[in-house]
Amino acid sequence: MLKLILADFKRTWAANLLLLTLIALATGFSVFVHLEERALRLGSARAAEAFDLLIGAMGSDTQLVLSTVYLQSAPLALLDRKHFDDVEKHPLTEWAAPVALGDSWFDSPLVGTTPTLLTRNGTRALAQGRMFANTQEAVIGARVKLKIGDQFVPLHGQAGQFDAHVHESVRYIVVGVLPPEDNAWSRAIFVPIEAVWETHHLGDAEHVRDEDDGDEHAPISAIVVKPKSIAGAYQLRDLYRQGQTLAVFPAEVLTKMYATLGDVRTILGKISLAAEALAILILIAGAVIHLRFHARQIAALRAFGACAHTIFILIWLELSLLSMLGMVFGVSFGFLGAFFVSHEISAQQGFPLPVVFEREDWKLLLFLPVASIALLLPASLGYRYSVARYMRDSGA
Amino acid sequence: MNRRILVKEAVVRFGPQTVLDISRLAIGQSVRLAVMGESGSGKTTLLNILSGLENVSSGEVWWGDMRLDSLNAFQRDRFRGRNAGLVLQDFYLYPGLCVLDNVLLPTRLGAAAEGENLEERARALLDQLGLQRPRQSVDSLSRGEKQRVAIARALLNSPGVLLADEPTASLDAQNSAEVAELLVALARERGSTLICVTHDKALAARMDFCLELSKGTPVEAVFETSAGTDAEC
Ligand SMILES: Nc1ncnc2c1ncn2[C@@H]1O[C@H](COP(=O)(O)OP(=O)(O)O)[C@@H](O)[C@H]1O
Ligand SMILES: [Mg+2]
Repeated sequence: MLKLILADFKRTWAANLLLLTLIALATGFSVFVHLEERALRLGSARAAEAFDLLIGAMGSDTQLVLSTVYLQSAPLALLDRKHFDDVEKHPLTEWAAPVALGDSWFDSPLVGTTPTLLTRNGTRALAQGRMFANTQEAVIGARVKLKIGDQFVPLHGQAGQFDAHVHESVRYIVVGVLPPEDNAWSRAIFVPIEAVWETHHLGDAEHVRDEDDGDEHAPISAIVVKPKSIAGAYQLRDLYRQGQTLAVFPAEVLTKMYATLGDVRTILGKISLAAEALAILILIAGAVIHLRFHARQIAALRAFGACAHTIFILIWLELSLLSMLGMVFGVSFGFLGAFFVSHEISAQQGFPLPVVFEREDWKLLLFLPVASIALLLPASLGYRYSVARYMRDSGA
Repeated sequence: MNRRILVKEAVVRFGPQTVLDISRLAIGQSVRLAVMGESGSGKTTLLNILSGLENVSSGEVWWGDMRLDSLNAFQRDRFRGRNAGLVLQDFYLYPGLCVLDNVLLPTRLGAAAEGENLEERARALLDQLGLQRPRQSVDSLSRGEKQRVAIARALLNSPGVLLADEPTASLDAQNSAEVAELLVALARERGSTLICVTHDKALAARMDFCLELSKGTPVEAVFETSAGTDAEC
């Protein structure tokens, strides 16, 4: 019986291959959409875990999170330094660090900040080397392709931006490397925030030197705050939600973003369901064509006394096997596809997108029984072929 | 089992057209009967109602004491699988399978009880038919060889009745003669009744009797026990 199925597959391999590909594509698409959406959700949430409270200038909270947590380059309204000084001194604050964004070196954004942020206020050590000690030194994230002792010249803005230009006279030397982290900051380069200020006031160097510590208008992009308690976190957030500042919990903003994406998810879900339904329809259509093709053989088998039910089971088995194979390929391709796309995004964004199957995914397997049941229909056509009709055609 | 075939008061109609009208046709056990007649005279239809591939519009078809026309299509398939061997003009071999698998296929798919050393019997039969390579794909066979495979398939379970529809019509003269020879010899060896629709005079001459069909003429004929006499047509 197996031989018969194999012979059939071999004989109509082109049509079977086409059918197989279509099923694999439909299944693969569903699996891909499903896994990638989850990877994006899990990965971005994990990447935001390190940030408790963010304070920025009045504006879009989404923009603040995208720029600060994911280091997406986009112009961000700036804060005055005095806000940082206020927060840092606040009794509810455990520690706070300023962040100045905007420059870059190739793919790596340059982040001006203080050692407090990099060591989490002294609670973690660098992986290699030491903390920057002056405005010519830099500490790099674990994924940055530089090593200790390397020197580099940063670019104002991001490479490719129309007003990007090299800061000719600024040169940093790498003195330390941060431990690996699952977030975008692992591809960033950190320099003292004073260095950023200095760079951007170059024509006015004296001004910087004179008022080094005292310029309360020195611009910062955002403030990362570690509150002492959860209650304190909410109080701080409410406090800095007034006036010219904006305070957000990144996780909260993400939840809001996912809610917006939720609609997209539903649509994608429907599309992938439609793709599966299409695959089953294609399968049935394919099955009917397949049977038309074999009608003469089937009629003959019955003429020679083969049991009609055995033939029915045979046809059904053949078609089910085909759909199963298509599905296995589809799931594999979908998984591999999601895996590679995640890998690509990780390389770009610096945080991993976990491609994982979860328990709820068993529903994907429903395709198989549904397809098998649907295939009973074409398989039963085998009963209807009039044996005599084909026999007579062969006679004179 | 008594394998005498009896058709009584049988009519086959397709729409308004009466294709076959048999008032009485009896074919005794082990008789060799040639069925002749011009194209469209109902030869294939006759063979089909005898084998149960088609049912009569009215009348009775008996195989011994089994009334075939009272069975449904599935039951007739099953009955045919166990009791009749079929050889058709166009072979109907299953493409992509080898010679041996083709011979075994209907039995393996439930046509008949597999019985003792099925495969050995098939090989012996193929050997007897001059087919040396049982594992060769049927797709690469000549027409003459294909018809031999079909004969082996029909004879595998030594059916009581062998029905052949123009078995030599698509073969060249040489192969026609050989296939006719084999068909008759193997049927005789097993004591099978052989009913053979043919235009082939040489094949018909090897039969005991000849039934000449002509459109619109009712059939009334009894062919009993063969005495080895030659056909009178
Ligand atoms: N299923 C059918 N429907 C309509 N007409 C049929 C059918 N089967 C046979 N016929 C007609 O019956 C006649 C006899 O056919 P057939 O038995 O095949 O003749 P033969 O085999 O002697 O050439 C032909 O005219 C054919 O067209
Ligand atoms: Mg005919």
